[in-house]
Amino acid sequence: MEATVRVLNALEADGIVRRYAIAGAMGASFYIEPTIAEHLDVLVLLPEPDEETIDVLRPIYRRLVQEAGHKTDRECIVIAGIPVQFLEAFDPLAIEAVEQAIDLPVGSETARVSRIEHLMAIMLQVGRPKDHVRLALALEQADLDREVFRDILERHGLTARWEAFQRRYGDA
Amino acid sequence: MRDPEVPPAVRARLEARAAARRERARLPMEEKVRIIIRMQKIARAMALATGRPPPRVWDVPG
Repeated sequence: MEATVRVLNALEADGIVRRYAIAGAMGASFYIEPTIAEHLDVLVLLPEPDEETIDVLRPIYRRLVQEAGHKTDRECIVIAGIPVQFLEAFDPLAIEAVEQAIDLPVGSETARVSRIEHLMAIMLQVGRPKDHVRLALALEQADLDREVFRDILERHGLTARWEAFQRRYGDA
Repeated sequence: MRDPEVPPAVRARLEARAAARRERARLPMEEKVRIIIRMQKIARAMALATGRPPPRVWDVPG
């Protein structure tokens, strides 16, 4: 994974993306016990485009696939053996999850990873059964700042969903 | 959550398992990736044995 992170950092250093953050199941795995994942979700903030384009992720594809020779696998680009799915951060919660992401070690590299409080808010927002499972694991295992989490929930209109989650599953 | 209906022996077992999960949560990321790949291999073998589409297994060097 170290080699994958090195490529992500280079994308940012070279200005292909303005900022990135690892999110999703693998982002959560930085804070909780490892859970099975199919790919690495990477949220990106993009530089202002030079021209109007529908495919905003094209510069990433051009750099990694056409120039660097990484292969594609369905919706992912395979970087050093790990399928990576790039997702533009388009809603306020995802944008904040990238802007406030933190640096965490992966071998000798440093990966930018969304804070666990943002990842948990996104789990709540998406709300699939597997998101609720990870949310329960995070409550049990992660070093969570509950004030930050509560603030994120309030600002992004997720308090009612959180209360429903607590009614259903309790608060580990 | 502490359910008063849960027998002490069962509660002790559940708490031990939770402690083991918290221990795994503190592993370095490289070790977690090795565990994830082991889980992917198991999931793939199970899928193939039961005729379901096999999930990916990462081919990570080292």
